[in-house]
Order: sequence, then C-alpha cells, then structure tokens
Amino acid sequence: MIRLFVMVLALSAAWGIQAITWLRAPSGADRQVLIETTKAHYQAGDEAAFLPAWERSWAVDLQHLVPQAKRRLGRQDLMRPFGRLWLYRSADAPAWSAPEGVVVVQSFEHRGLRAVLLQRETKSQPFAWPKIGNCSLSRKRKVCSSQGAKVQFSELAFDGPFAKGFKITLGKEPLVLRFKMPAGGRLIGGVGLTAHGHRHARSAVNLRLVGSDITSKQLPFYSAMHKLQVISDDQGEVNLILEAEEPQGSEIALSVGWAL
Amino acid sequence: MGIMKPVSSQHYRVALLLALVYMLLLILAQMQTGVTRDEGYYFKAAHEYSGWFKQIVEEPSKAFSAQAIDKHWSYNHEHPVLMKTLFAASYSLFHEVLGWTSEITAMRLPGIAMSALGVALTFLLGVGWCGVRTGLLAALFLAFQPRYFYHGQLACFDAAVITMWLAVALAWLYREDHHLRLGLVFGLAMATKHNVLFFPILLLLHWLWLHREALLRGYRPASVDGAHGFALPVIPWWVLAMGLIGPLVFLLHWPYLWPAPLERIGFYLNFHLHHEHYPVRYFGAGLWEPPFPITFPLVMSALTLSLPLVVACCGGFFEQSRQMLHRLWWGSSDRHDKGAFLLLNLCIPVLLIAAPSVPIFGGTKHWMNALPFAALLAALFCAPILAHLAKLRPWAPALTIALLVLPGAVTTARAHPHGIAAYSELAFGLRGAAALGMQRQFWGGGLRPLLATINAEAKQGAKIFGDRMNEDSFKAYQRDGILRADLRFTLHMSRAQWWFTFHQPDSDWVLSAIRSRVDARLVAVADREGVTIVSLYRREGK
Repeated sequence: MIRLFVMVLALSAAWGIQAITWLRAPSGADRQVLIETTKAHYQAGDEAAFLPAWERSWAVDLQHLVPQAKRRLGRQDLMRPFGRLWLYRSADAPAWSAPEGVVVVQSFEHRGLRAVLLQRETKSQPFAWPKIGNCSLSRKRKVCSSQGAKVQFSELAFDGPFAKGFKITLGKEPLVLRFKMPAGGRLIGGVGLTAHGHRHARSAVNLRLVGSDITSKQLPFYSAMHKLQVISDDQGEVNLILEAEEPQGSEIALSVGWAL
Repeated sequence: MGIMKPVSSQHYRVALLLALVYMLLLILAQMQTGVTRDEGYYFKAAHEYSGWFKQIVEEPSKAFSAQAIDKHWSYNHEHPVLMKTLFAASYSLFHEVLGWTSEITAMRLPGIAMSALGVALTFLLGVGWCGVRTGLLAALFLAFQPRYFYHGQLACFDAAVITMWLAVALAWLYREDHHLRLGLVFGLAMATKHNVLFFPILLLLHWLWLHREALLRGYRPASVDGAHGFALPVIPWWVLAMGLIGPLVFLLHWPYLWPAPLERIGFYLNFHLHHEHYPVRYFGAGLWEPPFPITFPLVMSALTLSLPLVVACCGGFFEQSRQMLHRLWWGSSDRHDKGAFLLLNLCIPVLLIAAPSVPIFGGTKHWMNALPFAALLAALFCAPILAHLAKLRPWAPALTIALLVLPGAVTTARAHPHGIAAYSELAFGLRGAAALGMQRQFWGGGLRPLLATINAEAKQGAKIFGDRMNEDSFKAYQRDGILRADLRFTLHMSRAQWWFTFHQPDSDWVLSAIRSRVDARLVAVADREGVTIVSLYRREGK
C-alpha cells in the first residue's frame, strides 16, 4: 500500500507540474501583442527592461518594435534610478517591487504577461559618474586609474545576471570615488563583487559611505550587488571608499545613479 | 543455476524491436539537433583515421610503420578509437558509398545504434532479473530520460559507454561458461571510453562484500606437503578473462598505442586523471575550480530525471539497501548477491563524480553509466504494483507503464532539440531551472535553429564568430549544406559580421563584449519555452 501510495503521489505531482509548466510557458505572439499595445505610449528617453532577464526573446521583440528604447539588463540593472521605465514581465517572473519614489503610471496585461510604465517622481540621472584622484569619468571618458586602482565603465557580470556600471579593481591604497550631485540628492544603486571578483578575491572588501553621515560595511562574499543608498552632504557630495587587505583579484561592481 | 533467469528468443525479438524503434526516433530527432564541439573534433578524427585504412589497402607494407600510424592516428589521441572508427566506417558506407544520409547523420549512426542497444540491453537486464514487465518498464524509463535521449543522438562516446558499461555488467552476470565473452566485452568497453576502467573496482568491492565474513575471520593458514603457509582465495576465470583479454583488445584496437604502448597508455591515463575543469553554473553560482559540492551528481540527477523515475529509484534503493543490511546482520548463503551488484552499479559512477576534486563539467553525462541500473531499480520497485494490477485488469500494467514513462517523454519533447538543457519536474522544467540559475549549455550545439537566419540574411562571404561552436562543427554544417558554403569562420570577434553567444559562465564575457559594441544588433535567439539557449547578433552597417 505504501508503495502504491508513493507512486500515485509521484505520478500526480509529475503530471501536475507538467501541466502547470506547460500552461505558463509564454508565447512569442503574446509578447509581441503586449509590446505593440504599449508602443504608442512611449516617449523619447524611455527605458525598457524585462523579467526574467534570461528570456531574451523580449529583447528581440523590443529591438524590432521599440528600437529607440534604451535597455536595462535585468534586476541587478534596475537598482540604479530611472526616469520612465517600461517593465515587461512574464507570468512566472521573479517578484520585483518599485523602489521608493517611483509610481506606476500605466499598466497593461495580455494573457498573463504584464507591462507597467514606472516613473520617478523627482529628478534623477541613470548614471552617476565618479571622480578618482584628478580623473573624472564620464560618457566620453570611461576609464580612470589611480595608485594601482582602476575604475572602468562596463557591463558587469554576476554569474548569469548583468548590469551596467563601474568595474573596479583596487590598489594597495584605499580607493576614494567622489560623486557630485545637487544638494540633498541621493546616490542610489548597487555595489558588490562581480563573478570574477567572487572567484578571485583573496580578502574581504570594506566599503565606507560618506555622505550626510558615515557608514561602513563589508561587501558580502557572493556574486551580486546589494542595494546602496547614500544621502549627499550639504555640498551634494558622496564619497565611496573601498579597500581590501589583499586587493589582488577583488573585482567590484558599482552601478549607481542619483535622484533627488 | 545461473545468477539470472534465462532469456528466450522471444525476449531477444522484443529487445530488437525496442532498439529499432528507438533508433528511428533518434535518427529523426538528430536532424534538428546541433553539432557539438566534441562531434566536430570526432568528425575530423574519423576522417583522419580512415586515411590509415585506405593506406592499408593501397600501401599495406607502409601502413604499419610508426610514421604512418602517427600521421593518421595522432589526432585526438586522448580518447580510444572504437567509436571514432565506427563513425568513419558509417560515413564511408552510408554517406560516400550509398549516399543515403548526410555526413552528420552518417557519423551519428553508430552512437545512435549504441544508445538503442542500451535500451535493448536494459530490457534484457530487467527480463533476466525479474521478468518482462520489469524489463519493459526499465527500458522505457531509460529511453525517455531527456538527457539520455539527447546524448543518444550524437557522434560522441557518452551514450556508447553507458551501453558498454551495461554490457560488461550483463556479461558478468551471465558469465558462467562465457568468460571469453566477458573478456571481449570488457575490452570493447575499454576501447569505448575510460569510464569502464573503474568497473574492476566495482567487482572488487562486490567480491569483498561477498567474502566479508571470511575476510573478517581472516584467511586461514594451510599446509601442503608438510609446508605451512597461507591459503589464497581462488582466482576466478572471469578475473583472468577480464584482466588479460580486456587489455589485449584495448591494445589491439588502437594503432596509435603500438609504437610506444607504455608511454602512450601513460599519457592517456594521465590526461584523464588530471583533466582540466570547465565552469558550471549551479544554482546561480559559477563553479570553476574544486572543491565541488559532493551532492552535485545527486542533485543534478534529481533535477534532470523524470520524477516517477527518481521516486521509484529512491524506493528501490531503500528496498535493496534494507535487504543488504538484513543479509549483513543475519548472514546470507547467496553466493552472488545480485542486489549488492545492482547497488554498486548505481552508486559507483555517482560516487566517482561526487569526489570534490573530480571535474563536474559535461552536464550529467559523466555518471550516466548508472542510469540503466537506476531504471532497473525503479522498475523493481514498481514491479509488485504492476503484478497486482495485472490481476485486476490485463491492460492495467500497460497503462501504468505508460503513465510512469510519459512524463520523461514529455520533458524530452519539450526540450528538443536542446535536450542538453532539459530539466524535469523537480526543477519545474526549463523555466524553473533557468530561474534557479542552472546551466543549460556547454557544448556549442544549440545554435542550429539560427543557421537559417544567417543563411537568409548574411552577405556573401560574411564572417561568423561562433563562440562555443568550433570550426570543425562549422565546416560540418557547411559540408551538409545546413550553412552556406561562402560563409567564413573566425575566432576574432572584431572581424566578424555575425556573432553567436551562448549563455554559460565562460561565455558571459562574449555577451558583454558584443552588447557593448555600438554596431551590434540582436537579431534572434534560439530558445525553448522562453528560455534562451543562444543569441545571434549582427553587425550593423557592414
């Protein structure tokens, strides 16, 4: 009886899971219908993202239907601020909630697929460009080096997920990244170890955040970014200081913008 | 009385029918399945080895010189050559002489045949162990495991070595009066792939188990003609057969070994003892170097085998283990202990890969030798249910077998032609596995569905960056007309007009590099149920 019960249970679970996963499998036609529905509402400067990020058929369809929209690379890339963002989600997409200061302006749905237009209520910039030493990074200058450390604007890889931001390698001295924004602004985004950094780091990486107050933490030892939010001081400045006892191999990801 | 039940000619006919039907399924399926990196190497090896056979016909006196042997057999000398020689023979017959198949299909036929033979042998194993229903269920469980079905389509060694390990096990079980056959089968297994070199360890462990009480008491002193000494156990004929015929067959099958056997066998063993590690994505983490999780093979088996098989195999394992413990406690007069042999065949391949320093690349293929035995264990667990149902309704066992086997078949169909990415119910399928951060590609074959796009849109002479696809695979596609002949392969990303990028740890940098280009445009992806396997980019403006 136990044997029969166990196998009936296994069969029920197997067929049930087959049915559930079959019904939730997305259709290319449905994706296109949803994107077409949102197309007329796009404005210049709108960004687009999709979840789950490994479902890159969204990217193909967005490329064809809304080629002007700048693309975010997934959950890790949604940590930094956006102005207007279209977020497309499959029925089984991972949970994601809009950050503070962001409202849902419009939402659309088609056969389990969802699209929402998210808008930040205050002024923001998707990228905050740091200065290290006398070198200021910008859209035109994407690499700076100082005392053995290097900061490079790049795609950041986290064992599957990706984001855009700064890839940082440390020298023997602590690295100070200076950010400037309007007074009262907040530096928002994520910081952590890249996949490469997680594999090769020889010691913990310490982070000190200097804005309106000072906090210190150690970067968690896994390949991903965790949330970062620092309120700037009266001059609108935020300093990030990174150091490691054994800096060789530590590759740090920093993906930040600012918002008021 | 033998260890196993006798197998009748009717059973052989059923086994043959199973094998033929399965072969047909595999032949049809592989027409959509991409060429893997290793297949590219083996196609090249097959062409080079066939040159030696031509030389035997044309210049027999020179063919056996060290220079001729090295010229034709040096390529890919880290693997024995039985399967590659069969690939060459099949290519010559079915493609060159008869013109019945494409080159790729011809090369794949021996691997397909071996995989089908594995299904047939599993059926016969079940018949000899318990009966026809058990054999049928075990064979069908095996046949419709998604990754077994995938590997069975390829011109590689993995399906073949699963079958040969099983063949050695069967030959051992039916060894009475057939020791020469056992030696020969073991030799052919050694000539297939190095995995079977661990089979003697399994037999040693089984022998130690059978003689546990004598060993624990200690071997007895003895005397002969007044001289006192120590009595050694009798060395069975099968040990001699395997120990002598096996290595002899191995040596004779591989001409590359002949000029310097010890040195070249040493290289062969050393290569595999110190094989490099390729990265694996496992629950969202990149595993690049040891130590690897010891639970890796168990967890991957649970996530890639069909749920009915996993549950029934666990039930069968528990049952057999309980019986073994019973025999250990109470003693046993069973001279053969098939149950222990079965468990060893299930556990040894898994335990070998579970060692933290052993490479874990290759998906699940490196311990798939255990799969026929897992299928048998599962069938044995279900056998009493089928017997009971047979008494209620004559058609009930067939229906039950179908219900048990079909989940695996459905997963196989849903993943095809990307069977290497197949994950089953416990992972919630392809999408569930992608959400878990599991690896779904490593072998470069997933881009075949995208080749039609390149054929239609690429300019004359365009250069293609293949990422995980190697040049040998690229040329195989061209020779078969699947890819335009004017297109060119390049290893240099900067020179390409088209880029493939795979979604695996050692290709993340490729995706980032292409996406960072202002002139790269995503054109298409190859996916199953929305899970992307390969992406195709095009250079704009050129």
